[in-house]
Amino acid sequence: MAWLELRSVAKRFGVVTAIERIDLEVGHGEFLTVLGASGCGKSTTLRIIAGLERPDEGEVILTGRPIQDMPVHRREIAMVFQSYALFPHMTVAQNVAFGLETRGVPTVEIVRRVREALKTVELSGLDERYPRQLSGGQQQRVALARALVTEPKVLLLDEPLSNLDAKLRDRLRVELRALQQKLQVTTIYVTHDQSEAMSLSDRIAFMAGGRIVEIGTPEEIYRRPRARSTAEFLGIANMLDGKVVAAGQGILSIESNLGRLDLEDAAALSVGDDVVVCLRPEDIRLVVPEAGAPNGLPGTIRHSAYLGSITDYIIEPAGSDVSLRIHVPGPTTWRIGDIASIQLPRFGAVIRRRPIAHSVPR
Amino acid sequence: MTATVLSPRLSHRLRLRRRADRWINLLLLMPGCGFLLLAMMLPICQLALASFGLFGIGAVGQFTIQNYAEISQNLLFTSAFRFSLQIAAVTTLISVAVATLFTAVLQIDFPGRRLVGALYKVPLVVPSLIAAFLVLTMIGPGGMAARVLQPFGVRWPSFLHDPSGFGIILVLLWHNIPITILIVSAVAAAVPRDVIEAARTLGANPWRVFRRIMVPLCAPGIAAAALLVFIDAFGTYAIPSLIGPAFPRAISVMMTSEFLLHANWGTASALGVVMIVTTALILVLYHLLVDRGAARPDS
Amino acid sequence: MTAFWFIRSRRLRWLIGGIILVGTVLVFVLPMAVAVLWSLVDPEVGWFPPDVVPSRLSLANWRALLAVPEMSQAFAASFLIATLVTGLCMLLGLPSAYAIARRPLRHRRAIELLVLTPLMMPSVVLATGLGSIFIRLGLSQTIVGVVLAQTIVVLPFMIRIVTATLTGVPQDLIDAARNLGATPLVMTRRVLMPLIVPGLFAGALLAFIGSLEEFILTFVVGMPKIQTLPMLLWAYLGGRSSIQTYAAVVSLALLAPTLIVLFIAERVLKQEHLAAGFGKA
Repeated sequence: MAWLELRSVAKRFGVVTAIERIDLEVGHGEFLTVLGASGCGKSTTLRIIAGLERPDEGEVILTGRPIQDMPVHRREIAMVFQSYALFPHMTVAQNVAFGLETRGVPTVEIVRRVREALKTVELSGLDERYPRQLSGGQQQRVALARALVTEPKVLLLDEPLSNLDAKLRDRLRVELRALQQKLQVTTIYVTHDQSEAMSLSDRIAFMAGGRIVEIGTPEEIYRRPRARSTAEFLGIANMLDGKVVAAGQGILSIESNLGRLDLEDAAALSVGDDVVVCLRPEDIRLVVPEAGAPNGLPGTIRHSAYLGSITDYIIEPAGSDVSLRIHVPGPTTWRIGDIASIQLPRFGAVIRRRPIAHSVPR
Repeated sequence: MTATVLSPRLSHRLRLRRRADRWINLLLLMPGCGFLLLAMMLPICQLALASFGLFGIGAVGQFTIQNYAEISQNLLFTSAFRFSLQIAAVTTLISVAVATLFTAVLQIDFPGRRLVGALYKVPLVVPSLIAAFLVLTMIGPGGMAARVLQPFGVRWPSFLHDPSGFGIILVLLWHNIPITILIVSAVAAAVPRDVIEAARTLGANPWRVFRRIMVPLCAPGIAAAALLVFIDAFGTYAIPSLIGPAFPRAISVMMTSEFLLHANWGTASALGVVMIVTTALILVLYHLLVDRGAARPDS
Repeated sequence: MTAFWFIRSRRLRWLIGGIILVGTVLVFVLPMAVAVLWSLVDPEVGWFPPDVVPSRLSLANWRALLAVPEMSQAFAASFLIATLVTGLCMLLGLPSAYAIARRPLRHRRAIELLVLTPLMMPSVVLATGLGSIFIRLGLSQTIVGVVLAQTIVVLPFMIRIVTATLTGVPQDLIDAARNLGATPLVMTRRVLMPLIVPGLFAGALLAFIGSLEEFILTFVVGMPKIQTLPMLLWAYLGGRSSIQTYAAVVSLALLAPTLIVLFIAERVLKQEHLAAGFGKA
């Protein structure tokens, strides 16, 4: 039995459908991220789990009990907000103690647990400060401590790191993950930042247009996305339209506008299927032009940018209007205008192509 | 201004510039603020001086505390002071209570809410004198309430000239509750939505949210509204002069009748000083309570 | 927060809504309707208990507004004084507002407090002090005296609104104008002034209405020679006699410009400036 389940949850605001037929299962102690662009419905989903919105349809089931009609304050779910939402008129200690007071925990124990919680988030000694006296990162930790001290059944986080600068975000990300692992709290995290999602989660649910497009581990949905929108959202994707011309023994041959691609893919596709192939920039190689390289293709470099650990190239294959984006480790070796030979990989995600923009997961 | 080492000529020009700035500021502020300063200092000084018999119409010309002795011993004056304070306190308490309740109710999404939200603002544009008239036509003797109830044999009690100041309080409430609602609503709306939601997710039921989040965060704004109502009710003249009891009278009525009817400018000035001091004390009290109470969370 | 989460039942909401709506109408709207009825009472028949509605309506009382000398004089006096007060407030208020809004001031808080003080003091006390001074200065019972007295309590509103308007002009616009070559004079005339006209308009309206409605200062300084509409109203309400019909007419005559003006104002202006003027900013 899943720890938390959403069954066919739908929510409308007036004539706008915010989310439509969401089905989700989260296991105990799992870290699930709901990833998507603004307006995709991820925050609404989170708020429905918290009880701040009521679903128009469907059920929310926590440890086997339906809770969609339960008022917010009775669900044992704690939430960390993007703006931290600390109580400005209370000290750090009072903020953290709040959730324990509402549950009638005896004062002595409150003091002990608050102290422990602050130690866990490395804010010991700041008990008597007020939120306005803290930095952004510190405020976020207080919000986290405040949520975790109540030992919630589910921890919800709504883009909690987006107001922080990049370095701090990175550090807190690592700490957050470590903490979650240690405490084994079932956690649902909402973000639009795909690298954040990838680094934190056990599984990622990618949402678009109010629906869950697909769910999988970071590696699964990055290497083997089953929908075009997923592939394009996660990192840089070179998308090539094509048609399956041969299938069998774990190899799919696809005729694309860059020529024939032989890919190792065990997907159940048949000859004649329309597909789109997703090639990641780190999988494509650039070599000095030489005749006879398999899947090799000459192209002209149109753009190069040195990004520190890699160099980002855009190359235009000969005789094609499709450009490829390629990442090569190390400093720049190719200049704009150079001719390089593109070595297409033997690995790429093959996605069945549908006429509609978002494919439904198979 | 960072302290940098400037060449002597540059720093000299800077000093001249700053001095010129200050003169320009003074010139700009003189007409308006200068007028206000003068226009308030003069009457206050006049009242202070006249109350001590030093200066003014009919003043004896030398220092005396006779006027203050008079107002502190004469029952008419002491009861007027108490009466006005009473009215102000009652009006303030009820205004704040009703405004808070009304604001809470306005949060509920009931049909007609927007209409109610517009209608309660009607008295905002009605000056207190007209408010007195309106309330009079409704609940005065021969007012609408009396007429509606007459066929049922119910005798409508007289609210006017009631020694408890009931009629005065009613008019003051009608006049002041809307502005109080406006302020309380604004203050309540300023509480960030996610702070309330955070409290709910942490297990706070609606009552606890009200008690531990809304009240503390709204208290300063509500105190400001209470202050306005109190001072307005304490010093109101038109309403008690029209529908107030013969005894006790409001302190403002006593003061004006002293100089308009009895030409006792000395006594009137003393009463005026008492009113100013009372108002100033209330302001100080407000400042102490609000600006020093639980660390200010500057939003 | 547009919904109280714990009152779920639909029927309960309708009940509450109904009670509140009826209550609000009874308390806040009905008196106005009754006042209108009073103004339309036929003077030859009157409106006595137990009639809940006047038996005959007529416009006689409204005609009296222009016909009865003291009413038409009060009407003229009120509007004349209001115009003068508005003009004076503009003259005195604009430079101060500009200074407070856009110039670095050393004692800014003290100045802002000064501007608020006339509103914090009971006007009747101010009236008493002023009354005595004006009598000796010979300003008592003169238009000039009344205008000066009213300006004291009306000027703060003007200053606050215009200050809020001026503060609201983004510095970027001024910088852009200067960057494009405008001299301070040109910039003021072509960029600043047009942007603050709505605020000036609001301030003028508030000053005008404030003056029309002002009672106690006008009463003490102006009586008995100068009579404005509020003073007349006071007289009709029992200050001198008790003429409900005339009181109704004068009340509505006083309210009408206010309502019209505020209606226009709300359409024309930004809400923030009005709120600032009422002392909330």
